[in-house]
Amino acid sequence: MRSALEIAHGVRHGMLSAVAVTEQCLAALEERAGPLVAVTRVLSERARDEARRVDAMVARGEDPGPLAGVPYGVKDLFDVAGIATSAGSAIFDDAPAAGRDAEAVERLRAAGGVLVATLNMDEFAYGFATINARHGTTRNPHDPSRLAGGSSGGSAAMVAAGLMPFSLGSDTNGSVRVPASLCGLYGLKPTHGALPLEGVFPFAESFDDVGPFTGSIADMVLLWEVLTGGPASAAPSSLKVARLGGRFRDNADPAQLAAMDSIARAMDSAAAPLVIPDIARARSAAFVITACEGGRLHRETLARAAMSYDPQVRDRLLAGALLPEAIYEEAQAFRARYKAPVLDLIADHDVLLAPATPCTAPSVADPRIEIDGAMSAARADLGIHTQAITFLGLPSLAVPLRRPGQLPLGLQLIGRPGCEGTLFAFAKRLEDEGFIGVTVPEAFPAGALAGSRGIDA
Amino acid sequence: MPPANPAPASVPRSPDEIARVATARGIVIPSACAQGVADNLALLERHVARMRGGEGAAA
Repeated sequence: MRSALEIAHGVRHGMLSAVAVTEQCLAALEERAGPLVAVTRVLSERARDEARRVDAMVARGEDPGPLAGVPYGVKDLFDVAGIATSAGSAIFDDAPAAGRDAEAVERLRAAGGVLVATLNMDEFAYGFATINARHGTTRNPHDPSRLAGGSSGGSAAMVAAGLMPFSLGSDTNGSVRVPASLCGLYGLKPTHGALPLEGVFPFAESFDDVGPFTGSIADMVLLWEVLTGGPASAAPSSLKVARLGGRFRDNADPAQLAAMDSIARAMDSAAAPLVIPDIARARSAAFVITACEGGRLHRETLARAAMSYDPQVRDRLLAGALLPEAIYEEAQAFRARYKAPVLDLIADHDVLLAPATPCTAPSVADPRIEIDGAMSAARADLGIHTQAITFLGLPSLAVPLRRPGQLPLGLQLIGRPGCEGTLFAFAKRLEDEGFIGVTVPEAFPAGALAGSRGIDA
Repeated sequence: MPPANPAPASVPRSPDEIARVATARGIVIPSACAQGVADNLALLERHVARMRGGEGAAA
């Protein structure tokens, strides 16, 4: 698959037609996307209009922008002008169409991007599995008998399958980082609030963020620049890197541990893994805050139409709606007390390394994982390592370990607030040195947009 | 005068308590949801306990 950078370069310089790229992408969606259960709506008419507009600008000698003619999809909770925003639910079937695009979509369009589809998710983003009662369970392109992860699973599956070069998801507690890890992609949870949330259906306001999926760090930097309107923060010339220990290492795949240890050696970081105190308490407090805010958001709708929800999401939201307000305030108070000393503890480090998920993709037939020695639901617990980072409001970039022939696994590169540029610079170094990189899934060997992107076949 | 150390708020667990809290919030728990809601409240109770430093907090 061509990268977003390669497509945009070709279109801007008249070597590729945006319409041709779009038609190729739409044909691939029609022919190959079905088994992944990743697409909720194909937006053919809009895509063709946007592509024609890009080609017309090139013909007039104008620059359509840094995403000229690049096809992409969005999780089905971004407003798209002219269609109702579903948030993965049947509840909004009769809702009025959105009057305008979400701000993030508008910025992509202004940069020449071509929106081709809305993509599957856990209903209302409440889950780490993309098991959706209405649309079905999104499949992992690396092994369709396994989950893609969630809640932005459709967005991850489409990029991993090579059917589009990038997509947008949302990450509240790990909903970009978890599927990025399981599908072998780059996925960003920005510093809380750094990317525009206007026009994105909310879940838990304390933690909600927009995040892109890409197949390379260069494309991630490009998306960051388009979505923020400027370059990422400058990275220091010398990076101080630490591995996170404790629960992060207790619930990790041996390949993740080996990779983190190798990276630490390559960075001359001989220090023992850094243990953040009370990380299990932090993760549980994030779990409680999420349940309370989600339940509160849906309380009125649950009161009149509970049976219209996806059953598993409905029961989680109902439970959250019944939690006492005092428990929510207690969790927020804990968060306020907890953050400052932890930020002090990690202040000397530029990048922290942690697993993105505790394991490779669980099977669709038995969607459970092992946490602390016991089996638990993947839907609730795949985000054990991302949710704790969410709680601190730190930016975290999920990156794919380079492991051709094996199921994907990701690490989190965690930075200081506002220091995404440091994460991008470090990821570029890891990519250049062969620690990380995307692997083409055997089930989708060519992708939709044939061409090189420097990946393992 | 309030007690010096009031008992911390608790997660509703018994069917009566769940029904009472739901009614107070204008929600009727459909019978098909009762077991799922109870299971999720039990999970939330474990997370609240852990948040407070109880079982599993040191994991």
